[in-house]
Amino acid sequence: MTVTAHTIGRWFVQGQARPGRPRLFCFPHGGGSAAEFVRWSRHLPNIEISGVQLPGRGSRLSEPVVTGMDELVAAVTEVMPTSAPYSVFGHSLGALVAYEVTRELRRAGRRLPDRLIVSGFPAPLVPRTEPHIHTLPDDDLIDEVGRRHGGLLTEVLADPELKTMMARYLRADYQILETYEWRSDDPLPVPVTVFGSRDDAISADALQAWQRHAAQDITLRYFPGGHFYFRQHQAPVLRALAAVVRETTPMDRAA
Amino acid sequence: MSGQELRAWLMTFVADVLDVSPDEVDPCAPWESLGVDSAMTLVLVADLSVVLGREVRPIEVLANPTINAVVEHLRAVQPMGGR
Repeated sequence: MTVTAHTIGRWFVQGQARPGRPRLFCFPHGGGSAAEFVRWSRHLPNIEISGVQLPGRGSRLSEPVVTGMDELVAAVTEVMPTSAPYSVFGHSLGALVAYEVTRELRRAGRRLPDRLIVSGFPAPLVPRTEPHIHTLPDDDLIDEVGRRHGGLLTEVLADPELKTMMARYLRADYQILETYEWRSDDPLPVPVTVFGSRDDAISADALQAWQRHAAQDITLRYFPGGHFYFRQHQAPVLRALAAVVRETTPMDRAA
Repeated sequence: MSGQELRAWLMTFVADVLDVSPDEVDPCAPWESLGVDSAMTLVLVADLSVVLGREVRPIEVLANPTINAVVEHLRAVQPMGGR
């Protein structure tokens, strides 16, 4: 079956078309957008990028936001095209979503990704101890996210309309994260690569713990920079990403 | 600035972001498929405000999902020349 751009249009935003090349589905960080991955596309000539766009932002601004992991995972996997070779990348909250989507695809007996690449997020089984922030007022929510991770612009706080718009989906994303509970499961039969930064607040142990979610040995790659290391040093990160996808041997894992 | 000039300006802005030629930019495509997110919108409205000589708010771009929709919106709130 050919899945047309139309049927996957709302959830998946394509970068430049690369017929015959492996597709990489990219899940954004909390408050993030598929647009960032579209901008990566020109630097990744051997990969067809497909950025995941959650409701409540971008062209989906008027849609109700999703506030729970199960609801999000069910909605994405229902429309995610998995007939051709593909890998999955996720950063921060997106890493957790990518992991849960892969688990759901396994439960559903669907073709699994050739590789799962998780970035800037502790292994899901690691208990998270940060205070919850998804119930804070808009200003405090945006302030706290900025304090933890950087990456938000002070201009956002200066513009009341933009702040209100962004706080709505940022709050939803943090609600997904803060209401998430890891449920024990067999390790994934999928090669797992972990990207992280030693300058980020996430411990090496918490990244290394992804090993417990993988049946095979994981590969761990560190980059300089903070939580958004790929914005500070984009070229080496994207070269590494391209190499990881290239080295991934496509296998027919169809059920 | 006419609507046509504004459309060309926006297509050129996006072409620079994506490193493609302006005529490859689809003015009917949603902003995210052109690589424009809220952070990029802040850059866009700062430049656009200078070009138009009036403040353009980020929401005026983000609430109008395509280049053509933004052109129509800005034409409606501030009459410009012919298309």
